[in-house]
Amino acid sequence: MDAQEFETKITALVSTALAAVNGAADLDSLENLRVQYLGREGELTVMLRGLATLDKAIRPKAGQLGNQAKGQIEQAHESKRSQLYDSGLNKRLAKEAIDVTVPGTRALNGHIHPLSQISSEIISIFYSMGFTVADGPEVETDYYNFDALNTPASHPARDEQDTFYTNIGPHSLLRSQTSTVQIRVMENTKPPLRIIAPGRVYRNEEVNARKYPLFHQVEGLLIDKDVNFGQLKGTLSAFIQALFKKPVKIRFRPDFFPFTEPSAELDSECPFCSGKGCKTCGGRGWLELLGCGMVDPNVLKGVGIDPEEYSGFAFGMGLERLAMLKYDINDIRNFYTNDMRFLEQF
Amino acid sequence: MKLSFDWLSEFVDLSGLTAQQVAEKLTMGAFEVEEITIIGPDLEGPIVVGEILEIHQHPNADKIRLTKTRIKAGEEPLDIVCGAGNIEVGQLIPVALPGAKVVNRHDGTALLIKASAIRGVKSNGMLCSPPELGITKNQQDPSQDEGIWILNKNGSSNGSNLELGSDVLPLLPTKADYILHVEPRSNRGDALSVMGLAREVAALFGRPLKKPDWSLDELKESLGEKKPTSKFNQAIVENTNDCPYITLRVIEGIKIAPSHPTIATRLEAIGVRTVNNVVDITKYVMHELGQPLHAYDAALLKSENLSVRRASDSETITTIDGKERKLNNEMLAIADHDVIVGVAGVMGGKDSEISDQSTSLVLEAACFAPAVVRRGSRLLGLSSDASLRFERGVDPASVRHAAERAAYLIAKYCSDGSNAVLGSLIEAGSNKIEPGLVTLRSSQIKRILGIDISSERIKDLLTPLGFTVSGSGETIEVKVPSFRKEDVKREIDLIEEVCRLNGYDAIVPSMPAATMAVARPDDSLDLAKNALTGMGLSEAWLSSLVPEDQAGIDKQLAVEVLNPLSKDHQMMRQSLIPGLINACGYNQDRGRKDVWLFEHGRVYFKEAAKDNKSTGVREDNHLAALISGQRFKAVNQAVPAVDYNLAKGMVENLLSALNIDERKLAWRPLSEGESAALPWLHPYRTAVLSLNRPAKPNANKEAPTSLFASNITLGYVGELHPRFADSKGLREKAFVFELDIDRLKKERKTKKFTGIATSPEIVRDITADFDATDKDVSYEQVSKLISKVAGSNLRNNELVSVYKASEESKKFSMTCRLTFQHPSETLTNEEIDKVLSTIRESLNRELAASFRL
Repeated sequence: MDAQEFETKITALVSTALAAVNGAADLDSLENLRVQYLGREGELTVMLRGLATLDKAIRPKAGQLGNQAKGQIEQAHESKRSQLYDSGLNKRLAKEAIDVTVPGTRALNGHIHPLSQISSEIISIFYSMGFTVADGPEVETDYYNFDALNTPASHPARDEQDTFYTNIGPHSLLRSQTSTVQIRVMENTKPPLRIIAPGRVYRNEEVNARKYPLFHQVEGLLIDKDVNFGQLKGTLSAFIQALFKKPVKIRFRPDFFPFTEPSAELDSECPFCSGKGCKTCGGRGWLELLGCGMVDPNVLKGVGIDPEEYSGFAFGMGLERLAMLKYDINDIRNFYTNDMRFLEQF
Repeated sequence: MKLSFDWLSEFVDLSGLTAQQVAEKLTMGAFEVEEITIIGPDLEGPIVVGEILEIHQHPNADKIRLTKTRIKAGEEPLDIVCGAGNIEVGQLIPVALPGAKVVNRHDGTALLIKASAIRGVKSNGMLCSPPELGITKNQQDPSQDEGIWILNKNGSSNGSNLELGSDVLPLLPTKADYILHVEPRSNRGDALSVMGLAREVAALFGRPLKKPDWSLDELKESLGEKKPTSKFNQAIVENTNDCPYITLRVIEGIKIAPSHPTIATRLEAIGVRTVNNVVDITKYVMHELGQPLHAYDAALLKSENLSVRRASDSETITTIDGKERKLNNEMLAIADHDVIVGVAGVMGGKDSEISDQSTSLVLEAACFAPAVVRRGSRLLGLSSDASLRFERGVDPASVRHAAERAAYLIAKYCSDGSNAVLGSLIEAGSNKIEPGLVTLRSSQIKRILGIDISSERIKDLLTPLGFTVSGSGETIEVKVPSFRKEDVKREIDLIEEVCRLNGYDAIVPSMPAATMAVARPDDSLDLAKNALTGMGLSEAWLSSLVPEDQAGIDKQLAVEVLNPLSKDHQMMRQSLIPGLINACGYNQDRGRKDVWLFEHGRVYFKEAAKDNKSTGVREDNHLAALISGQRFKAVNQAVPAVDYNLAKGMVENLLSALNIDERKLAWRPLSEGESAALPWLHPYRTAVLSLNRPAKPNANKEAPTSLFASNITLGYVGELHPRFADSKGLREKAFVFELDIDRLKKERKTKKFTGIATSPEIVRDITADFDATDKDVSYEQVSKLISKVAGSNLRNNELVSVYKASEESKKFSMTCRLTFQHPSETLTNEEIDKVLSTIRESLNRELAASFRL
């Protein structure tokens, strides 16, 4: 076989093969064609194997032609294969069409109670100012709830209509304020100390939109050398701005608590009327946010801290009150009814 | 208390101050004014004298005319529209200019004046009629009511000195009074009066107090030398601790009548009901000076003295409010020999009260001990304006002044002409007060307040309140006035006083210096809550006060409220579950099927007090949950069943979130005793979780049935008992768990990476057949046994299936998929076969398992 003859033969083979490959109807027949031409006993494979018998002079040229032919067929096969695969897949996908606007599989989402949320927020703000969380019992004694807090037996807060007493003993009561934790901490820890004590308190009051026989407070206490009223103002101002995440106009108004002196009420400008006076603030233009003051020397003495060496400030706030303000909740009973329609809004 | 601005102005110069300004100053001076109400017409300027220059017909309305009204000489007149028929050129009339507030004569509400167009014609104010200025028909010429108030009518005297543009408000016959609602302060009994608050206002504004313009001596002189005919002559005090000082005075020649208008108006303005001239004066003086007084009808007293003594248990009194009250030795009484005529400091008796027939009286002014009055008031369930003041402390040194003031007013206003006869003052006890002396160090002001306040400034601040300040520099000596003796005893009390008067705003905010390290807070609760919300549970907050008949309360250990608000708030809870069940029912009743709730909260058990700091109550923190209804909402798809296994899986996930090693834990069925103690649990579908170690001797021996009494119990998970669920009206099956989070916290291990083994795993299934006819076999027993004997290469033991031929069958098989892996070496099949045969032998020996080959 001379060169001319080989070339004619191989060209004819390529053109037949390409026509067949391009005309293949499906992946199976395409695979059969690949075996027919490129398989171990395929027509092209056999022809190329015959190159060895050719004259040495034409072998290089023939080899070149043979490789070209193989490449052409392989390329045609690959492009046909991917074309057939895509069109087959596309047909299948089209059959899988669904209404993609149908609702997804939904699950109940867990929600954290708003009082927990605001409590965590308050704790984390004070944590960043170096305060740690302290805890104390809810069933307390009158010593921790009153006497140690400079509240003598004749104070109206000790009246039976305000405080719940229990069967545990003549001095046992349900704490009416978280200030009890101040005393327990100071009894056990030497200053300097900075604590924040969130917890449940109880008062014997008729249930209405503003009152419930139990509610929650967060108490704070800082005792150190050279603590003054200016630092109380600075700390609580910083706290309020952080809690409401915007500048809030506040004022410190003189007030009286048995266990702090001087004492103050921290008011914020009423956010509902911008200080003009409305129903929420009772026309005052200001809302009470928390009570605070310098720890009374009698309280320090009572727990064995020398008031000439140490001073400190304390503050207490109602969680419900802050949450009602922050989330615009108008009835305190919502917090304890646990209606899912309420809980799922937080 | 309610404070009349008008009354206040009698004691302190308020010229140029509005009620609003005084209220603000008082509020920032520790006397919060909660509200200001107005008595009388609520008018605000500018309302000025104007002159009508021209009158024209309104182009679009018959009954309305246009005026040109001048309000300042030499200036352009204003166009003002007017509907009244009585106006004429040349009249002087009141003109309310834009911004003024007058009374809407149709409904009495406030009418704000602004420039506006009336039927297309601009009007720059309003010509006012008498009702629009708060003048009612009776007081003025009735003919003028319908028309504009003509100020120069018939050349009246008013008209002659009226200047254009001058303020009309001073010309009005009735003025408004402003009532300041002042929050009473429990430590400031001295400020519960007009006089007391006048002192504060004077100090806060730096204005002088006015001197009283009355004199009892002068009045006595004018009445002549008459002496009372009554022989009444003595006050007796049993114990001066109960009553340090008392004064009595006989007044004769009295005629009972309605009060003088000034007194009646002032009392009514602050909401005090008027009775008659004498009683009203006792009230008037109490509100004015803070000293409660009482008047007895002298003709109805039997003896010649009144004594102050403790009542005895058999005595009774009918108080002025008409109620008969039983007295006892804790109450202080005023006695007319053996007849009780008053509960001291609280209320007088009906039988000796002033009536229309009274012609003579005995006037009492005294100082009673706060604690005794308070006790009596509480025991009787009776409080009054008098007890409110005595409880907060009345100054003995001020009693006499008030007694004289009342005598003066009664003699002046409660008799015909000068018929009144004033007896002399009868006294008992002492009104002498040792002056309080307190030393104030300048350095302490700086230390507590953070600012320097000079001794001159301190003197300026304290002196107007009656303090006498001497010395300068570091040590300042302060003499405390008698009426402040109770609340100013220490240096800190003076620092507060200086701080308040100097203004809280003057304190410069700063931040405390950082002097201590911060302790890391425990994150267990946050992790647990994250895990639970991630599983679809929402957080509930439930009442810890529960009904008296709450299920599952162990009465022996119960903390009970002795003075509950109601039966629904009587016991301290011992479990969170009943509350969650109620919350679930509440939601289901409102059409909510899927209720997934959890709570973190306390439970309370009585325990023996260990020391004097202990409260006799153990308070544990529990974490509990209830699931009812589906979590998932899917279209055309099955969703996983909510069942016992799902609830138990939640607990297992929770344990994993807290990184608690499950090998330290054990599950077991509920015992009979526990089942009886926790009636909301399905007796055969509840598992108790406990620590896998023997319980320590029970610390709480009184609680054998309580599940959590054992110190290794961590909690339980189970299905709700159908009987309990039915009784609570639940509409869906519910599953609950409750865990002691305090105990769980202690079992948390720190996280540490142990590497990922690359050696091959060998997985083998092992199926064991059991026959529970004689003895129950649980997965817990099987898995614990496998773990014990399988050796250290057992990585995982997963229960694949439990097969029972039928519900009733006692025979069942259990298939466990065991994964073996050595940390570094490749295990051989021979090794594993050996382990498997050990497992089979043990299961056979200990749990009577058989194996099919």
